[in-house]
Amino acid sequence: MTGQLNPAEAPIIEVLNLSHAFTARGHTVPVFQDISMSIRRGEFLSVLGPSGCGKSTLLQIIAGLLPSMSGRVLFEGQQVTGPPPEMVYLFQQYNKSLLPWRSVLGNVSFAMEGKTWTRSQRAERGMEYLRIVGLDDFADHYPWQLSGGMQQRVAIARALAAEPKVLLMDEPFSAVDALTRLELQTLVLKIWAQSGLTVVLVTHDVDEAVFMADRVAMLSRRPAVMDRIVETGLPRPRDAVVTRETPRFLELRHQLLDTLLHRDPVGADA
Amino acid sequence: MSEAAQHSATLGPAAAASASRGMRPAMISKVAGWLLVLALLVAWEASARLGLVKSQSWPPFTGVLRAVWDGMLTGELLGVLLSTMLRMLKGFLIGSAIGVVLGLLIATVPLLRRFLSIVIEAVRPLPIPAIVPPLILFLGIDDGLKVTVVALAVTFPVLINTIGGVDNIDGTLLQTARTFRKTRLETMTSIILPSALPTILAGMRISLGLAFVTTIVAEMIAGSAGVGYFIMVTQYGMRPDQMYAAVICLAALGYGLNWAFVSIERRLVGWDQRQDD
Repeated sequence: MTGQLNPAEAPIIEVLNLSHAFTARGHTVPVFQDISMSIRRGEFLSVLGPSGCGKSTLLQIIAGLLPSMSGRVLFEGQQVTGPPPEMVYLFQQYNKSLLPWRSVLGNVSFAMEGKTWTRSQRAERGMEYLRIVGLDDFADHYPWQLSGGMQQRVAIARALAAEPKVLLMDEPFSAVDALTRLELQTLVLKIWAQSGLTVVLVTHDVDEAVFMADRVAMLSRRPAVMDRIVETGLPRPRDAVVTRETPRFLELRHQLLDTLLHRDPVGADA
Repeated sequence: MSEAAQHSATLGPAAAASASRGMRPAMISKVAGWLLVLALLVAWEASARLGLVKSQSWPPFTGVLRAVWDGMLTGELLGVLLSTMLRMLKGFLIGSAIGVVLGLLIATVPLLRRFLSIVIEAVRPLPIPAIVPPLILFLGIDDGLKVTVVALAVTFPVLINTIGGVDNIDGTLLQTARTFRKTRLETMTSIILPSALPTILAGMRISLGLAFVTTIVAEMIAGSAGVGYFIMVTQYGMRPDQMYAAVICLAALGYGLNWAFVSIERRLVGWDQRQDD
């Protein structure tokens, strides 16, 4: 696959002046307004914001799963009107996104069906992706026989099997326990580093946003606008413990939390 | 890895414990249940043999068993049972197919749903036996009539359950199909149909019982063949042992049909955890 970060290259995704509103009982409630950003090819971008700021909605519009009300999304220069190939959305609710009547391997194969692969090629490649997420021993299990963290790893393997260029992750670790979350974060970073994928991660967890990303795009409270986009500048590979102890990490965490909690920023902007 | 190991380890003993706790009372009540059946049969036998019930139409149980045996040997009873079963299965399969296909269409095409829902709600509450006489005017009293009536009875529970099953599919699963760029047909076969299958099969199980009843009733009303007709003929002909023989065979068949269907259902939708609750 392609993909070291190259700032000179054209952005893989461009979000142009997106606005969105919900309509409830005849009232129109704006969710976010005039959001614009460029997503670089091969980067890891976190979208951070308080709950209710519409960051999941934003991600679904980028994915082509929701139509945009105003504004546009360009994927490799083409306007997104439906889910583009080479862009896969990873759902927060992995337990509702996996097919319960299929084995773990069957779920991974799902992403490859309807393409040119034969059945045995699908099984072979499916096992490779399961090996990447460390679940090759559980190919014949059913999703309900696995823990939450393992189910989300199946969903990740399935997303990879579609061979996307962009992985859109909607709070993918919010439903697992804290320790499993750290393990999954490290796993996703490892996969990202080896694959050259572009990843957009939506989260409300400042710690997670900073730890994972090259850049953090921060949305304000509803009606949300783009508050700022900061380069984390943290060295890679990241370490679940050590990275979180570096001065830069703590500085960023401090700034972003301050903003989220609506206090006056203490440090200067990055 | 250890996550799954732990999971199965906690499942094992818990399941074993509940089994050993539940076993004894369950076994006792099951044995008692069979004893009750035996007692009733003995009472039947005694009431006829000892003359407690004096009637031409009350043969002893052993006499009925003998009639079952003879009916099977001569092929008379066996023949009518088979013809009934065949008729019922035809109607069941046709009705189920119509119910599933129509249900999937109605559930996925909003325009069709609005268009058809009033007709369906109007026709659904009709007691099916009531439409046998008018249908005779069009279809006569042959197989065509009975299969049609059975298929009609079968269609509605399957139809309603298919629509309900599709309506209850979680939105995330449909969005998953979209992000993996599945076509409408692929989404139908790989997501919608399997998701709705437990509910569809539950509807078919209800319909199987209905098909059985409806076949017998239709044969009684528009008689020319089958067990329903046989029961009427033996009643008119004062051959009570043969009449009861047919009734007993129907009870066994009904039990067997349900058992067979439940086993197929378990095999097909064993993944559905709601089944275990």
